[in-house]
Amino acid sequence: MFSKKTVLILAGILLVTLNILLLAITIRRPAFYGLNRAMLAFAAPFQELASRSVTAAEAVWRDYFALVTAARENQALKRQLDQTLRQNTQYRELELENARLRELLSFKRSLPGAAIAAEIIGKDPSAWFRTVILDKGAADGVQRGLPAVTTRGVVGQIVEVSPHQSKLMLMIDRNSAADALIQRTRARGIVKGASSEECYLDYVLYEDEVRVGDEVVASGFDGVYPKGLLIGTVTAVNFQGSDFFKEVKITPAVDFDTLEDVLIILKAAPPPPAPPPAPRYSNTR
Amino acid sequence: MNYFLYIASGLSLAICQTTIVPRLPVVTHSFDLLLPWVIYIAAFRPVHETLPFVLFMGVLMDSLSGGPFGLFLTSYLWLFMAVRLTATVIRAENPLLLVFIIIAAVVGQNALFFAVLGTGDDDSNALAAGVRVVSEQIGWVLLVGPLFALAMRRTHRLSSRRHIRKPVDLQPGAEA
Repeated sequence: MFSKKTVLILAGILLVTLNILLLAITIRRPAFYGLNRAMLAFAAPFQELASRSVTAAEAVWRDYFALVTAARENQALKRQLDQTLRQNTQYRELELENARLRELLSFKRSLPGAAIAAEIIGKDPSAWFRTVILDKGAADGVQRGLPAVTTRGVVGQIVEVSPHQSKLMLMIDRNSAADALIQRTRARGIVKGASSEECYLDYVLYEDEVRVGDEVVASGFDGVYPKGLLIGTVTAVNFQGSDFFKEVKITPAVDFDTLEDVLIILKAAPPPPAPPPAPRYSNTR
Repeated sequence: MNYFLYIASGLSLAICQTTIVPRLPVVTHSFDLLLPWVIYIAAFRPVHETLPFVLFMGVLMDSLSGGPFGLFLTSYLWLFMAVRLTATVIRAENPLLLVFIIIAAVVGQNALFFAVLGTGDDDSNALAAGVRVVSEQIGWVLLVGPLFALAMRRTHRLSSRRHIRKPVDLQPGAEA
């Protein structure tokens, strides 16, 4: 009845009319039978997913750069911290050294003769001997036989000297010996090392009074160590072994493990006259 | 070059033993670090090339030590001879065997020191101290000895490779 062309034209006119009609209606009523809500409900999850994905991608991207920056910054800060810590350690070492040297200096003034400070630069390679190498030698006035001390007490005696270094035998070396007194009772004996962390006070008469905690000082009679310098403290008194003498164990006043600097007394004071021998021991108990 | 290496390695070990090791808080009685050195050069290097260095290091260590002069020298010399003799009958390249040789050397050196010095007034104390020292030193050898052994083997292999020459009959142009 109608040609195909006429049908198409009529359909187009109908569509345009319907469109205008729809527009006219929706302009007046925005929510058109809830269709927009339904479409919104349908599209929203996808939108949300897409939106979150983009946000996440943005966050990853942003965080990655932030992390890279933070990592670089972190490394720089760590380097800075390391440097500061190193400097801090150096300052603390200097401070400690300063304190030690000040202490030694004030102690040096109280010594009877001239003294020189020396630093320990090496220790004995063997576990059987207790000697250390000092950074002062003959050129600095050091001689064999001179005593070395610290503010805490007697350290040892110089046994070898080279032009710029010297070897110091510590009080705890098995070859070391020094004339000593129990400060409280004036009982006399010889302090000998045992190459361990302790010394022994030998030849203390059986009848002499010695107690744990007594301080042992240099007697000065050996002509090496100045009289009155602290050697150590009595930690044990044994009565076995000999009929005449007690076995007295001493813990040295100086901590030889942490020793770093010593004072070498260059001109030791002349020894006091030795007391006359007192034949007062007996083998009766 | 070899002479320089001997002297540099020996000196480094001696300095390490007398200045660095005593400052380590965990080490009370370290073993003599030059013992592995002496074992290496005795087992793997020619006598004429190394003996002067063993003597030199012995004298150096004796100078650094407070003991009677010649103790370290004697211990190194005896160790050197013992290792030379041992190396003729056993394969010293085995790391386990090297660790065992180091332990034997540590015990031997301490026995020598003890024999020379351990005649004091109180033998029981000295013996107890000696046992303590040697036990600790053996413990350290067990811990670090394998490293020394591996270093020795590696050095020996590198050194051997360097000294390998082409056989004359394989050189180009040589007649059979």
